[in-house]
Amino acid sequence: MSQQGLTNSISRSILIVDDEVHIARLLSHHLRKTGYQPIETNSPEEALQVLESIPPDLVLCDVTMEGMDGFDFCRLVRSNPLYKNLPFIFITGNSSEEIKAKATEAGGDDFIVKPFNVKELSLKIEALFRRMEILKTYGTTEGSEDPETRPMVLLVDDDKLMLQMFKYNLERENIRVEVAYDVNGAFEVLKNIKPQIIVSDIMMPGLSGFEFREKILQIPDLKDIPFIFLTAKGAEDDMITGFSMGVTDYIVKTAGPKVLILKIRALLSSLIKERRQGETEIKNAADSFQLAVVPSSFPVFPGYDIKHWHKPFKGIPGGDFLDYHRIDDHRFLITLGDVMGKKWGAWYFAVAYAGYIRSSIRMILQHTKTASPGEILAEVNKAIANDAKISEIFTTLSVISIDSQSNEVSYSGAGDLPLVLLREDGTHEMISSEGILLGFDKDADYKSTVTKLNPNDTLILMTDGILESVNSEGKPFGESGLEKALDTIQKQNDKFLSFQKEFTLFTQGNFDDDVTLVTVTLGS
Amino acid sequence: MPNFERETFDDIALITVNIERATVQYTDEFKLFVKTAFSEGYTKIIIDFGAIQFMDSSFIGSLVNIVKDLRTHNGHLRLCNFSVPVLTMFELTRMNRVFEILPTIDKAVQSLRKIH
Repeated sequence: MSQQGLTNSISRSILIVDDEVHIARLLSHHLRKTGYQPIETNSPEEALQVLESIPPDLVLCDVTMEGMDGFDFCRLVRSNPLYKNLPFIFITGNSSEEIKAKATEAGGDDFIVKPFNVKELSLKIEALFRRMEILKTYGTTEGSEDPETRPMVLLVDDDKLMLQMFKYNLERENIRVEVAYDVNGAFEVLKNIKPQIIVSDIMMPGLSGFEFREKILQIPDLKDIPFIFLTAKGAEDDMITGFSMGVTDYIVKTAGPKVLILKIRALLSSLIKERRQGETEIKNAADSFQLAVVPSSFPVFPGYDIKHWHKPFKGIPGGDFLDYHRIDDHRFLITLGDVMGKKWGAWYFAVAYAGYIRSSIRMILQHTKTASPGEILAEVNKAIANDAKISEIFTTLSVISIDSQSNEVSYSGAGDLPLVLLREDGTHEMISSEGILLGFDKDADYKSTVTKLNPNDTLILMTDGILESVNSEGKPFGESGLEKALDTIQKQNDKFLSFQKEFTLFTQGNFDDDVTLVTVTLGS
Repeated sequence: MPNFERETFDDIALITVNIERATVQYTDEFKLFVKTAFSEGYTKIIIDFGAIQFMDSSFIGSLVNIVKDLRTHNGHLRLCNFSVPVLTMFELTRMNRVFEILPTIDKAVQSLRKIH
């Protein structure tokens, strides 16, 4: 490899996945020598955990491994939008056409056959990195092929011949076209389809193009769609009327299809730019919100090990929220909640509502330090139920307080899932609460139950995103998944990591909802 | 088959849900369907959940919304024919205390007939 290659490769990280420890070690050694940063893992599961925290620059993966094979692993990695273009090289002992076909089908970029020469591997890695640079600079052409993401234009004109001509020309430009011969027909189309642009004739039998525009302006869902008038008349009066109705543009039919296509193209590209900007802003806002929804670090409480894991749905925070409060030197409070129906259009509303509940909890704690979890829930519930504006929304909430002197846990829940208590001897029990969800009945009763923890006992709290998450066959994790996971993790030292692993393996990293997990372990 | 169907007798509307996975994509349609029956004067509503094998929290949220709305307007709601997984979910989260759940349509009708 050239000197230049060396400098280029500095600080690039490569994730190695191979269950043969000595091969992984060897690869790691060579890669480090070549100037890369290797990350060694010996199973897909371990590799997935790395991918959760450190995005590597390339993956080098064995095909034959125990449990999940390299192909399945690659598919799983590719299912994460973040890793759609992550360079992925398979290492295989078998160079048959079948294996090559499978590697490509699974989403691999290249493969190398064992026993391989280290130089060949370095060259392949370099080549892939170079290809990635090109991709980054020039972008991909993807999207234009998928019929669902191709732009769509609605054309409304009573002149069928003219319609066919425009339709033909637009479709050749890879733009989808729906046509209607009058305004009624246009509204039929708009019932099911929301186009990016509407192009309408002015003079039509029945309702005119102006009347069409007026009606559209009254429909909140449609009024912002760019609207272009298309007419044979070039009269100035018409243009003025058109622009006063907030249309985007005005095209005289005699100008021909080329002008229409150019204008539509220009309009579409400015729309795409606008949308990209909007998406970036939402993501940025979401990132800063997420810090507020779940604490950014694990709390320190003497004698206890408390950890949490939170995955917002599609990266956008929704209804789950988690808080820790230190009440005094030996009492600690954990509150975990879930605002129902978080996948509404107005996701930020769920976040704001969660904030409202959290601040009322803090207020109660400031006034009464001795309040039990049940008393806290009853107070919060009353505040919410009395607030008419938000009584349409419902929340589940678990409140547990831990006393480090007596090692007693006091718990009360509102429509939440039961707590799971994993005893040191490997048995587990569910601690259920009787309370109904917050905001439903202002006089609802919330009782506290007290449980004593022994050393090495672990308490698990979760939101229903865990039980509702489905695997690739559409089967929910559910209670049976939970029972199975509990059986597996009771043999493991780190209950937190092993539960996370079981759950991620089941769902393959695709979650249907916000997912939050908290574990509390009493030290020995 | 439509997602939701309605049969009526006297002041009772029986709404049958024909979906297996009741998720967020159906919540708006479902809410509208039930509230339409109510606004047409059927103050006693039975919902048959026999077909549902899975219900997500958004769908449960829409049910809570419906029952709250009905109660404030002197309406009555009975849910019946739960599959085991859905009933378990309701019991786990105490939703069985928010709703009146009956095993069969007949039992639901009987319970509503007692109300005048």
